[in-house]
Amino acid sequence: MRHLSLLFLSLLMTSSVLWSNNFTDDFVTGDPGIESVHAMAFGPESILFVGDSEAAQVVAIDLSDQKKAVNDGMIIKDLEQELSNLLGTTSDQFQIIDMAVDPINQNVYLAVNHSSGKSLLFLVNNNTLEPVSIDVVSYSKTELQNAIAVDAKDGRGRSLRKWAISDLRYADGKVMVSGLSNAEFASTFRAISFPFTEDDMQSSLEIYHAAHGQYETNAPIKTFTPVTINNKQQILASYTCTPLVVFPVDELEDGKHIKGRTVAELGNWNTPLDIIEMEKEGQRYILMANSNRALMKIKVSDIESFGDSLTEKVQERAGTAGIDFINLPFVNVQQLDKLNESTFVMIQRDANGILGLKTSNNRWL
Amino acid sequence: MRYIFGIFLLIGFLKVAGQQPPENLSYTTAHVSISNAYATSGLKVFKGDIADYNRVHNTTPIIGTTKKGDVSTTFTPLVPFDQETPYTLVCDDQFFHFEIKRSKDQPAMTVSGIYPSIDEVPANILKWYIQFSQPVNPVKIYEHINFLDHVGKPIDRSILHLGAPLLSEDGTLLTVWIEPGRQKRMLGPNRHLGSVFEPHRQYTLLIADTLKDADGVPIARGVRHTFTTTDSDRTKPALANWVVAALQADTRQPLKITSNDHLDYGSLLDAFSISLDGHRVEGALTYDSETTTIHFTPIDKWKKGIYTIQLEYQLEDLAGNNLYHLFDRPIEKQKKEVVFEELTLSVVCK
Repeated sequence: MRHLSLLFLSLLMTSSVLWSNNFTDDFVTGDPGIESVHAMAFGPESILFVGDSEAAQVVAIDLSDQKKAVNDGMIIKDLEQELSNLLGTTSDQFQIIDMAVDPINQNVYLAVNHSSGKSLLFLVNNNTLEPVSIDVVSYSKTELQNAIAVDAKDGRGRSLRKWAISDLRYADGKVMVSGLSNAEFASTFRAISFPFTEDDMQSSLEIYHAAHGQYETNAPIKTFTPVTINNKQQILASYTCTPLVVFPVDELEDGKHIKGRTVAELGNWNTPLDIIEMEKEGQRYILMANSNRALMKIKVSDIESFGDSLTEKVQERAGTAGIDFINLPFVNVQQLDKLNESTFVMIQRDANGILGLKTSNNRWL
Repeated sequence: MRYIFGIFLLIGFLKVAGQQPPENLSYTTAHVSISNAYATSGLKVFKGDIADYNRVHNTTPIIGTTKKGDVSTTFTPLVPFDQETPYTLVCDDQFFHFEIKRSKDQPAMTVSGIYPSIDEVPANILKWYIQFSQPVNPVKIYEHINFLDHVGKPIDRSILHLGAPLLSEDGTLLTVWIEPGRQKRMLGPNRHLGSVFEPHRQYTLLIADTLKDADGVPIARGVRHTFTTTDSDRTKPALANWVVAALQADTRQPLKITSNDHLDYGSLLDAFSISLDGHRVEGALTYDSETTTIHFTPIDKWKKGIYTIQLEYQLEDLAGNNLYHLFDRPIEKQKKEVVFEELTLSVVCK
């Protein structure tokens, strides 16, 4: 019996090792040729997905060998000053593009684009920023199919076509990528299987949403997050033209025309920037950072119980409609991510115009 | 004796104040090198003029790599040094100052084109293109671009701000989306703020003189591009209206097509192709928005036969209407729409 137990334990460990290696089996070490970072998000096992619009690719980088950063009392009071000193430049020469937290070790990473065209990755450690190489890494990557029409050239032989990744998330073995181009006003939403395979058919969707039941548009998605709604995996997406829309993941079939369910319009002067999901005492919440409004809190249960698509017009100036939300006392939050079960990390510009990195916790939930 | 003391005092002052002669250094925007004659261990580079250790200890050094060669030690920053900006290299107990001067021969960036270039555009125009003479700084670019109304007042929320602006590969052509939440009918911003532009008004596209090129050099001058709006365009472009001129074999004379609709250039470039017997013809395309004329010049001479002009349905006009759909369309009417329109044209070459 003891031998059997040992055998079982051994098999369990072996299978565990095999399983843990599955994601990185085809990874190679070298330069993935990242030309730009436009969005990033973590997947399983400390794998960071990077959306590279310039090279029209998604790169999966294994960051599992990164040290665990010191995150106690995480705060960088003046992030732009810190970056200006580190890069030897001024704040008008760089832009913080995205922030991502490794759920395995709570390491916080920032992607920064410099005016020279170079993209940089930083690890927040002990309230400072440390550069992380993206030139020599263990990686796997996939090209975005049909991202750019190769033969499109203008009179001087230049390609004018530009495609930009607006957001990227991982869920259930799929990397989901939203983007927009300068060629047409349309949603470009792709679902790519991970680990990447050469023959994978990337789902490309047209996702429509209606405005008060009268007009509909196939508009670009600004930001999104996967969320379970009514026991079904769905995408909660905000559009460049403000509505908050839900559509089911299981309808992600190539070329399909999907009509999203508009659950809210969140104000006229506002564009949602980042969406995360947090939980407290069994209740799930969506937290949303916005361009012109405070951090919003929405109960997932309210989205679940909001049966139909938004059809009534919004009456008040800068008014809102659809599901209820609560404004939290955090304005000008530009980046938002879940640090751990009880804490979220954000990059926020304060009343004095200073951009800081700080945390808050679920006492606000 | 008094003079000799003065000279020693001066040398001492220079040493303390770090005024080392710049010939010890060589530098470009890519790196800075210092002779190994100096102790180069612990080499650090800082932004600004630093001349005392108190500031060294309180200032974050620039990130980069240091490599010691046979003759000199080179520091390469993570991103290029800025021009016209003071830096200090510190090694051992010495301070070396350097600043990369802008070449007088380097021309300042200008705006070389704004598209559509026509004077009148539909009030529901969806995007503009700005062509710069050299790569523009993409960082926070929208802070320097805005639309003004007829009295010169900035129009709030007129441009869609993207985290990563849509710039062409060479960094010189910027696509500017008009705020779609205001352009799309019935959305909150549209209902409460109205469209960005009203018909039959004069507006100005302002490119401010605060904009810089990719090297951090300010634009030569700001630009004001004035235009007038017509009624909103709520009709789809249709190939039935296109007039295609005949082709002449054994020549490279441009194929000429009059579209009779103001098309979006970027969209046209992407959606247009021409082929003979299934083989795509390579060439260059231009579009004259004034006359709505497309010119396609092939690389090789035209051959006798029937060429097929193929358009993708995503071809858009200035208001974002494509060959299948209007930019925003009434849901009820949509059900009755004939979805599939003709997407090919033929042209005979004799």
